[in-house]
Amino acid sequence: MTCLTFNPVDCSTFHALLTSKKGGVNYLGEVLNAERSSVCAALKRVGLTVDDIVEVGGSVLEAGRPYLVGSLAQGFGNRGSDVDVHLFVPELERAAPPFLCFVGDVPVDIEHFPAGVHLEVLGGLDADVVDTPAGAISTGRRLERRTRTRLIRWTTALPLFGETPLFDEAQHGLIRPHLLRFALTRLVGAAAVAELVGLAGLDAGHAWRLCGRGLLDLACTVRGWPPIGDKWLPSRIRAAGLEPALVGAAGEVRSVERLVREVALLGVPAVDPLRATVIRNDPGAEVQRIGRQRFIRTRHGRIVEREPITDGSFAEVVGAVEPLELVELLRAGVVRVEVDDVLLSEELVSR
Amino acid sequence: MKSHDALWLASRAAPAALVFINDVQSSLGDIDAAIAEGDWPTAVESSSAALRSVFLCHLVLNGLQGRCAEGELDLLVCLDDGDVAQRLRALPVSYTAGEEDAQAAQRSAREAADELEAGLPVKLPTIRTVKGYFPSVRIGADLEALRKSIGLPPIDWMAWL
Repeated sequence: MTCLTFNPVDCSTFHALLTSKKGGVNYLGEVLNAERSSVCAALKRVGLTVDDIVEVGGSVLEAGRPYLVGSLAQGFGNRGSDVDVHLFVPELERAAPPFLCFVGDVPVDIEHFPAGVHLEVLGGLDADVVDTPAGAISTGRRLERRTRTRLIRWTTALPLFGETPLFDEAQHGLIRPHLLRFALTRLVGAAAVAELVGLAGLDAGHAWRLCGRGLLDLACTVRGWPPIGDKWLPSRIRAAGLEPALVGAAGEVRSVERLVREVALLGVPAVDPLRATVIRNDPGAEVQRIGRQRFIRTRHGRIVEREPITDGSFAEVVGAVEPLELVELLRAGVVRVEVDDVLLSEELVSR
Repeated sequence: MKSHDALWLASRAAPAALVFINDVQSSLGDIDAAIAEGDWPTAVESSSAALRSVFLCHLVLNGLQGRCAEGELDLLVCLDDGDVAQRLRALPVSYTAGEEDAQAAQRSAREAADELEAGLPVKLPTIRTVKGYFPSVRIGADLEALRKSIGLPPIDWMAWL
């Protein structure tokens, strides 16, 4: 047996689709790319078959429902990719640490989760959204990093043995607003930093370049290609079919105004990054008293001779502290530029 | 004769070594894989990831506890005048990169990683390989023993992942 079957069609059908460069499904449920929906094609990229995974996983894989996740399942990956398998096991109380095995030189990570945990995570998502031309965007609490990573992996997971996908179309519809929100939040934060570096009179070229990346990341997310590892951005741009003009425009972003215009062209509300961000004392920095002296001890292992700042909106803090000093405080880990969930949601709703 | 400050080794070089094997080593492998497939944009992206990880290792060696907050590392790269930050800023845009760009990016990342590795007191096998995995685990246990012997608490490994 070269490959276990999966529904609704077998691997050979998908390989035929692959040849024709059509077919396949992205996380919006749209037909886009055959490689995406074929577990066989995904494993082939690292020279493996489902049988190889069954052989190395042994009885472990019989404990629950295994899904291929990560870059291979997302339709990307290459010969150097790991194989990541999430196994959903009935009666398991909590996620267990992954264990690593190898098929030849290919690392295979198998991670155990309680069966149904994906639905619990889904049920915990904030349902508040604002409808936009780019689709609904969450106005609720931001996803915690681990939850976000897992949701992205699960929303693009491929069942190893032809079982049903983890999420149906309606459930994808609940996740997508949060992924859009995440991509937008990242872009807003990058824009605020670039603006601050420029206000300090420093070279902000690299910071604006990162904003251009963020714009493309958001555009890919709007088109159904979720925000995954940075290194797959060029692949996502290709898969999403972003127009050369948009890619070119991303490279020309050098101001908040230009960035906001480009974001609006994606159908995403033209939120003002500076109104959605705050500058505050870094939560990892602590006041350290030594005798009568007060210092700030930072996550960077530094003791800084300074009092904390007064937290406030971007404009308030930039008005109270010289931008160059602020940048130095950022470098030292004393303060942090942060996107404020409430302010961003207000911006989204008001546009 | 080479010698190292034991406290520095146990408190800073040990977590930096962990970041090195988790992040730098894997990114270097990603560059090789992308170049082997002629995927120049991904090779440049992977070079960027490797350089970012090298930069993070230097932050850890200088005292950073845990990982950077969202966007923090990018900001520090913008502001830093050191060699690794300059290499990162000099990388070409990945989406339109060609073979020459990819090869140059790979050389840059490799040089920065080699320089970093040469300065780490602990010699590390490649963890995500059949031969390297268990020796790496052993090194982790030995570092824990060193920390204990000089009165440090166990490493919070999850803080660095």
